[in-house]
Amino acid sequence: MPAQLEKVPVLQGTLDMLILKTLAWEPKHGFGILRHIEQVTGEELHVEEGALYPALHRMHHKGWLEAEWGVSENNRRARYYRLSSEGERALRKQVKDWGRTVRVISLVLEGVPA
Amino acid sequence: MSGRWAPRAQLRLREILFRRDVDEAIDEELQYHVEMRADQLAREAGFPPEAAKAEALRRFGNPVDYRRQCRDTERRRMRRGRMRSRFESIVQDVRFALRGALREPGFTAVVVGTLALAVGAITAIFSVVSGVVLTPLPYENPDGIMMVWEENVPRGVQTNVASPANYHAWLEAESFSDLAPFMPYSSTLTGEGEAERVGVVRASPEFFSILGIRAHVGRLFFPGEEDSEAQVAVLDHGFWQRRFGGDPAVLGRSVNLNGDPYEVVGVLPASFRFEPPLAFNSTGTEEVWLPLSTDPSQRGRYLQVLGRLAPGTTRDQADAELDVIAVRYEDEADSNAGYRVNVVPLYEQVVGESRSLILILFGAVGIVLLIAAANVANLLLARATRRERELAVRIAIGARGSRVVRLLLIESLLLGLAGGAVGVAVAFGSVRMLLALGPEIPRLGEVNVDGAVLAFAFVVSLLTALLFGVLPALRAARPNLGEALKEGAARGGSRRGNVRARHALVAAEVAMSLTLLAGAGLLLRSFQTLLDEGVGLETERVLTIDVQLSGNDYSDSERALFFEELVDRVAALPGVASAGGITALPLSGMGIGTSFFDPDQPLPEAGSIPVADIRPVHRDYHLTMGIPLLNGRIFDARDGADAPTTVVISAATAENVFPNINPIGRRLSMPWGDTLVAEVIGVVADVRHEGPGTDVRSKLYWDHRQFQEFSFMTLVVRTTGEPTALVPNIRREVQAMDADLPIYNVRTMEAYLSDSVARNRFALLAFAAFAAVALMLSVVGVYGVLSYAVSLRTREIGIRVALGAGRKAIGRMILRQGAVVAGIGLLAGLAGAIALTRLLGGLLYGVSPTDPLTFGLMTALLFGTALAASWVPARRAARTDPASVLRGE
Repeated sequence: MPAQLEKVPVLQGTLDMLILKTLAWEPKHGFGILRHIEQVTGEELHVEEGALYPALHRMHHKGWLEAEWGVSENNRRARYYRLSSEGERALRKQVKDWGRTVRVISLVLEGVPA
Repeated sequence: MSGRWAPRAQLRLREILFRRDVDEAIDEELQYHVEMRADQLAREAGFPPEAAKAEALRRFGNPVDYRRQCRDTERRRMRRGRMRSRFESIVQDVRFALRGALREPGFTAVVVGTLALAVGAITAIFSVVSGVVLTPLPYENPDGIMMVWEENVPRGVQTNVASPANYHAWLEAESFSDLAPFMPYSSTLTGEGEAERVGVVRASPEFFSILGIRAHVGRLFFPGEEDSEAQVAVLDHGFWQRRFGGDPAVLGRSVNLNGDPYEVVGVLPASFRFEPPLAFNSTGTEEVWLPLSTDPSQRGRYLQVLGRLAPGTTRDQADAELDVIAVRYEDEADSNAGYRVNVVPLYEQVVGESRSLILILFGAVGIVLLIAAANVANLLLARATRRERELAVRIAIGARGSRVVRLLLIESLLLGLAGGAVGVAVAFGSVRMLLALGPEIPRLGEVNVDGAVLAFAFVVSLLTALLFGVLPALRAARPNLGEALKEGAARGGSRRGNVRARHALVAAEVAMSLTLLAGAGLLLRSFQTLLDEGVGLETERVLTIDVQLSGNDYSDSERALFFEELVDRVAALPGVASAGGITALPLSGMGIGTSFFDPDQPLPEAGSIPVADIRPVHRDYHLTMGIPLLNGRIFDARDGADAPTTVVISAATAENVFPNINPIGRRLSMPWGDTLVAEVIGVVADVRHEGPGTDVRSKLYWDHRQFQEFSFMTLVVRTTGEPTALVPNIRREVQAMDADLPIYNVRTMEAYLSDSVARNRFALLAFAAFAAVALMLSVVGVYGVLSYAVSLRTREIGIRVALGAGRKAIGRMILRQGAVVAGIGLLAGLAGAIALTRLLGGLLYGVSPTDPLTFGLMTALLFGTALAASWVPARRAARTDPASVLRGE
């Protein structure tokens, strides 16, 4: 698919933020998280799908996420993740940091505040 | 709370089963994703099923990799959970134990105090063991450094100073890479500031290279420098600081010793310490070092010799090689008859004699620690009984025995560590006190509470905690649940077991205490014997002062006249009963000696000629020192410089040379320079020159006017009042005669006597302190265990009284129980003490290690104390009011 060549790669370290943000709306399983990101970005963001899972397990280990098996929309067993209060704090911090990064980089690139 | 008590092994098993579950769960999760994606692609993008699946897998990436990453995270998570729960449960136990300790402050204080005392004592003694015995000497490769002595085989003298001739013969030995003779003495330092007496060592240049010492400033001696004309000196660091303010420009300046100038070429490092094994007439510190040159033709013995073993050589090989050389030179001179060589490692020389004392004290304080541990175990057993219900409830609601054991051990460890921490403070104080006692142990300057000592205190605290904690913990883990939980249960089986364990502990305490008491008793009797026997002098109110004339300023006859006049002036001072002098004061160290014989009898074989100490004295010496005249007369005006030579001999000399003959008027000959022959004019009582308890040696007293080689004399002054009050007056008399003459070593004979028994006194004081602590702990133990037994038997006693038992009989019953426990302990203790007091060996004097009187007295003392401790609970038992007991406890 030629369109894929134009997809924006996920920046190093931002995957966690995207996951956290997605889960901030409601608990989701892994595929659900991915679909959400795809739909919001109009499939412009490229991420290797498997990479989602080590990230989820790592954040679970850190205590940012809670995990639990549940029943999915198509009636199958799926592992659902939910943002913990620690995860919320982490998300707020990452969003703030991200905003600062964008502003700083915009300053350099455009010479005006974004 | 009960959830926390869930058995751990079960959790662990569940985890192992879980691990497979976790792997499967990860697979399921990833699988789900790929299927959902394929589904979605087929549905929304119109992929045929097979292609959808392939595309989903492609988009997913490498599943093996991601699965492994997830799995690693999960494993970490499990491990963390396991550790966290274990840690949390330990923290919980620690908190619980701390709360418990604070709830019973009295109990905690008693336990911590007992442990602090014992741990503090053993830590203090260990700091001595560490500093003196364990730390290698502060020299380069100290194991290879030896002292080389001549050994007089027939007379059994193992460490005799060596003659220059024999030292030069040793130089060909291959087992030594270096030999360095040295000779400590003292000199008068003049120049800037007041004249003073300083300790000097003459040493060959190899001396410092053997020890591996380098100069702090300047240089040490060059090889061969001893034979050159150069008069050079190396200063001790302390002396440099004191006299020159640590000025590096000291190099090239000169110090005046006995009137001769020496150029300072170097300063020794501050860490340098060397105590010569034998110090003649020294001031106690070595401050100036001069190069020593020796004449190979000299046969008089005065050298101490340090040696460095050649690489790969042992002490025994060196000893054997030098003995072969000694056999060869034995025939060259009569003075070598019977002499061999004795090689002693420097460490043995320095530490050897004190090591046994230090290790004995360490052993004794170890016993104190065991007694303390037994006492604490006893207290814990008593408390365990009080807590029986609490622990039983824990077990009943599912806590496993091992968990209860852990809790109790944690409690013990906390008590142990608290005791150890306070103990370290005790140790700091004890070490300071111990050093102040000045126990005549070498290297005391190297003793301090350092890291190694603190580590020791820590380990000892932990081990002690285990020691006293294990028995109570194991007993508590096996309670008789049914009994313990029954309301008001008073006679549980486990309690009876506790009582037995506690009786055994108390008996052990009594046994160990007896060992220490017997040791202390034996040391006390030895000390008493030493003091009673004395040295053959009346030491009260005798002042002694050293006077050294500078060799350049006085001729031989002037020296004699000087001392005559000085003694006369001092004797005339108000407050002086009499005054005299001697060249080598009893109790002050070694003196000179020679062989001698009766020239009117056949000459004894070489090697069996008797030897005696020579003591030139001022004529009133014996009178002043209170040494009784047994026969003939002492020196008087008739024995002047030009009169016929006369000699006063000691009782031992008379017995050796003139058995069953009146020695007065007989002649004695001694090969001293030109052989001297003198007429015996008197016999005086023996003096133990080296201190109480040492052998009596033959003495030959000369009038100093007839024996003029000495420029040194110790004035002895018997005073009518306080001896030291006279010091300013005497100093004035000395300075009136010679303004540049320092007086030094101003001391009383009492002080010398006290120093000569310092080691024995130190051993006695330490043992007495240990024994006192042991006795106290045992008494507390006996009292505690009997009080407890009485409280357990209140009901039974009440019934007995109600049934008509006499109160006296009840009291006797309890006393008997105490007597049995103490008796068993004493029997075991007697056996132990008989085995252990033998180790005191060298510290005992005039008393057998199994002296029945000491053993009898100490057994009686301990038994009496134990009965006294039993009496209080016995009386309480006898006063039991049956009515109140029977109405309900």
